[in-house]
Amino acid sequence: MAADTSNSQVVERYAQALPTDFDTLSQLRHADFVEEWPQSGERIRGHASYRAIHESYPGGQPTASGQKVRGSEDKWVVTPSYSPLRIVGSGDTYFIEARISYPYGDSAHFVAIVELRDGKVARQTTYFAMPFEAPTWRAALVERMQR
Amino acid sequence: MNDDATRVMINRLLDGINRGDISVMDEVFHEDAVMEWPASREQVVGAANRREVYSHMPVLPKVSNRRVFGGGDLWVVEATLTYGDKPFAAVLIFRLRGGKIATEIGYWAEPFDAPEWRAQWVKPLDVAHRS
Repeated sequence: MAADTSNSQVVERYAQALPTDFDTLSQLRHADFVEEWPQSGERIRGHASYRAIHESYPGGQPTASGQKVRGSEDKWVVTPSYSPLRIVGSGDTYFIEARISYPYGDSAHFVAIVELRDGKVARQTTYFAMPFEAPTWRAALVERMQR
Repeated sequence: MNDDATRVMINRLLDGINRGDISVMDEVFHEDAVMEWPASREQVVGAANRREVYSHMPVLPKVSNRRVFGGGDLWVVEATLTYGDKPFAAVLIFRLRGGKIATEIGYWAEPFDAPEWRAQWVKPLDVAHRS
């Protein structure tokens, strides 16, 4: 399972480099890197376009930090200045969960599905899920997760 | 369980939800399976709670534009889940144990209009190409 170990290390570095450590991301990405944003129906081809977008955010760049979710066996990594990220995966498929805080104060879950090819990140599919209130009708049937 | 069989199982789950047949969940989830919905900070623990939650859902989603992929004990479903007339870009992460689902982590993300400022660097994405 040497490939698995190596892929897992790549994804850990990748998760720590998101979203704006462009040099590291560039090293870890496949030449054919593609990122998809299904919510807005956008596809970004190549790291250069990714970088251009992230350097052009009108409100400044988002920052990623992690969130621990109780009751899971997940692997955690600690980024230098933020809380841990959740990384789950094996083989060529991983997912990264993080918390994104925008400059105007909003925050969301950042969920990236990461697919590797030849030990590099070839494809990333990213979702931005806003928090919502748990409905009261099912309150007795669910447990509340800690932030 | 090989990957082909897992893919069939996950598609059976999605087909069941699509036609409002939640009994299929009992076939593919472990009795002690946990569903995590981080955006609302909810966990549904165990089959009894799962049955109650799903039998009380005001509306079950229609599943379209699905993409099912993964391998071994980790599988991912990306799909459009439409509740009534409200579509979400959903991602479900399944972790398996012994050929059945042990954990589901689910996110529901609302569609938004692609911003004009980055149009020069992006191409339109058509999720309908998914089977």
